[in-house]
Amino acid sequence: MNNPGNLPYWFTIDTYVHITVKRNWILLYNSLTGQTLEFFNAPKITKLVKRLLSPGNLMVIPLSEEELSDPDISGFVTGISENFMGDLIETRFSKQRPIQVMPVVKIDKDVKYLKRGHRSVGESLKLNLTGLTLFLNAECKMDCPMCSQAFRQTNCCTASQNRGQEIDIEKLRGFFAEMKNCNIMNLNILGGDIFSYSRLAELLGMLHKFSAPTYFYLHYLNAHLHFPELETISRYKSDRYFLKLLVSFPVQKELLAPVLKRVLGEGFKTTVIFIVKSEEEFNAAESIAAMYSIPEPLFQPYFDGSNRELFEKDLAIAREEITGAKPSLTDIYARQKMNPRDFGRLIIRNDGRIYANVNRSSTGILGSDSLYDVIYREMIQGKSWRRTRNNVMPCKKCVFNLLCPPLSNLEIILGRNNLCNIEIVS
Amino acid sequence: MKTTKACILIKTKDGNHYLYDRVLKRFHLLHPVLFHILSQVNTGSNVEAWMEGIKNDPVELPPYGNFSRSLVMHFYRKYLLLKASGYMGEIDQEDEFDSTLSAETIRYSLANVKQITFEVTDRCNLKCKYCGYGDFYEDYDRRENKNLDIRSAKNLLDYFAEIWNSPWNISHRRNIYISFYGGEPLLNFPFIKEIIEYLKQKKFVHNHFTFSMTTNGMLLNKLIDYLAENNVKLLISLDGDEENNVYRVDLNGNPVYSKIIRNIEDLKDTYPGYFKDHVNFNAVLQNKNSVEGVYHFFKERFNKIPSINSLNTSGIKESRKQEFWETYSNVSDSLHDSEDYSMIEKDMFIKLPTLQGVSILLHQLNEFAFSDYRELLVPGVAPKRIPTGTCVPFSKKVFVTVNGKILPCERIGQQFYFGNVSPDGIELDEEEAAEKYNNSIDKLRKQCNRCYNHKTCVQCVFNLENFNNNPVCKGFMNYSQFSGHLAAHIDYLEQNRDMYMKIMKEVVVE
Repeated sequence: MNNPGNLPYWFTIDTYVHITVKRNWILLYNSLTGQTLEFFNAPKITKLVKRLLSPGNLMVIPLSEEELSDPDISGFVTGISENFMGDLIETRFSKQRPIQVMPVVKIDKDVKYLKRGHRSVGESLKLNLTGLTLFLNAECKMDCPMCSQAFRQTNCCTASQNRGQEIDIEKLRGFFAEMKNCNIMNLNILGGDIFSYSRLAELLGMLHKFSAPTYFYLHYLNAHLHFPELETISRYKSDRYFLKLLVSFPVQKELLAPVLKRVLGEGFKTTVIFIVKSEEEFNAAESIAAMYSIPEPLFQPYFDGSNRELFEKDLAIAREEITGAKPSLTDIYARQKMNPRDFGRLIIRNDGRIYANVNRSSTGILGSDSLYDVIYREMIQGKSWRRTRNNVMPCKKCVFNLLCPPLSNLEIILGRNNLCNIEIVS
Repeated sequence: MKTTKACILIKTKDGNHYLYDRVLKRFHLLHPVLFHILSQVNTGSNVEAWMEGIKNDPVELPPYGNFSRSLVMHFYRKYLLLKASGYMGEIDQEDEFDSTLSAETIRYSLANVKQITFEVTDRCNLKCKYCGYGDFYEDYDRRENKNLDIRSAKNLLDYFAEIWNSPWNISHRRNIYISFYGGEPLLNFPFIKEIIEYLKQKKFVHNHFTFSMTTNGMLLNKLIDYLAENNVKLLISLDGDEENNVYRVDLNGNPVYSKIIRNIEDLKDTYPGYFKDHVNFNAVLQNKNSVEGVYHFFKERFNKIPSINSLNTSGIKESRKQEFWETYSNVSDSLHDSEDYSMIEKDMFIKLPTLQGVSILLHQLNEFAFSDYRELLVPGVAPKRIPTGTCVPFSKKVFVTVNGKILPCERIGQQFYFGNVSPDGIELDEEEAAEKYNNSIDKLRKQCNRCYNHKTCVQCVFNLENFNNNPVCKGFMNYSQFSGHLAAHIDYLEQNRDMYMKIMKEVVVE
């Protein structure tokens, strides 16, 4: 029966509950309800949870009346039951200790398995490519203060490097040919000013072959100069071509107004993204959004080197926000194995350099390295695609680390991974 | 639209209760009260009305006994939470299956094939009683002492070189097995040598090769130097000790055990490193040996864990069926007859059918198991299954017979070929192959749409009896059969708790 003392109860925790133990700090997260139970310095509970997680126990342990008479244990068991996280089951119902199919996230093509024996990290590697971002050029007549930095934090245009150089369309054509059988989920097209790209028409023809949604990023000051060209894009495959209109401060309202009027009208599927670096700018952006009835505007905080406090205090994420987002078990597993923001995504800069993340060193050169080589390098090194909170400080010590959103570029730029107000207590 | 239930209720033989949700791919241990509530839901009873009718303590729930009203209410609320969270839905299986296979899919499979197996010769220097090309069977081409034409094989490799080097190939630096099969492949050793040398000098951008063969070991004394130099992986067929090998005889009916054993011992002494890393054994289980005997023989004599297979049960001649079943022995049954069953099972691990069944369950029906990173990153991105457990042709293997027939596997009848290769070239019409496959699958589609085991089915359509008329799938499972199937695997895990982690950590589905 596997119940040596013939104890009266099986205690179990359900498999939809994500459990994290970091020394004396324990978190149980009910993925169905978003509720959590958090314990610190509760040795009896820590011991009990560790027993449950012990591989041989498979999340089911016998409990005695004596153990259950302990207020700490009893309170814990009651809390688990009341929050629908597990059950106490009388052992008299069965002749054998039951099991839970306990969470062990397993990817058959995990790099750790592909490195074994006769297998190769290159096995089915093209399946991993799911997104592509192209910086077509560095041509732009504007002189935005954020130009050299914002693109390192979010999808944003830049003309800060290698001005005059633009993506070689023939090399790109070769790269696209190698992408056969990749399952591309989205494409991002950025500049400079994308309408200054000399081979734009050819590129649009090439993009036509993909069935993925394609997002064109354009600063409103450039959009203002290109109404006819905007029409061209809107006529192409309007069902899966989308415009991302970037608005940074200070805003020239007299130029923004006609652009908004045009792109929020018929023929465009537009998202307006306000790049803000202070609470004042955020408020101003909200007013503009209200004034022009912008549907579902996005507000993208931007670190300009002087506004660290905005991120470390005002925007610092709290426990309730993390659990309030109600990450699913699959979200949690994905964050355990990869960085879902970066994984599968390649970025090609206007000078032909290819990146898995623009803040890391290049993984290849367009035209010189094959798509296969580029992906292979990133899969082996895993510096961007497989960078998780489990392997950076201080997050690796935090019980919320897999519930928390994946590591972002902003955290790289700020040099701080924990943009939260959770104090590490383990 | 016909649907099947997502929620499977399971009761193990020792009396534990579980739920498996086929949509969420999630197993749950259940309290008997919750099991009772879900049973009512599954049979269409009005649970709400039942709950409203419960006014007093205690609540009697046979056969479990009496429970407090508050406990029953608690589990009713838990049921409501599960339901609100997506449990207990219905599945339209027709929608879950891919409608048909396309020519593109065939090409994709060819470009990403994992193994090419050449039937090097149909000649053999043995005449084993149970041979797949022997008296028991009728589903193979006549054996005519033929060798596969080397020009045909090179044509095939040239064809593959082109698609392996193309963007159809999704892998890089991947290993492909080139395997030699017979008859006894070493009877046509010049072919083997020429193919190995041919591939060594050809340019492949994304692939490299491992050579392997199944051999009866009779000629190893003469040819082992070249095989060892090229690290050819050997799978030597041997059924155990001398008494176990009575069915393995030469063309005159003489026993061959002692010659084979001598060759193996010489190989082991001459190339100990090669023997350790590249030589394995396969035993056919029949009525003259046992899993226990075979295991101990190879473990003690060569420190190897053999593969042990039962005889193929399809394609048996009507006139020989009785004799066949007298010769046949089942691996699981034989294992259970072993005295040191538990130790053998731990050591043989995934080479045993019981473990393979549990492993399939844990890899295919488990929310924690994913094929690749993308499947985890983008839920629902995994390609739809084709009905039955038949592989997409060539997704795993290409098998070329001595007559140049191209098949997806050596374990199916040679009448199911999809193309031909000859000294003049290759004929493999992807459109036609897809159509042939789709027509075969269509015979089972209706059964698959109702089968609860559709996600872990291993039934190959080409191995079904009565294939040409109205084949009936022996693996079909209705609700209660599937529940029983899951219960058997959970029973196993309840009794072998350490196997769960071992399977999840050590077994990898390639």
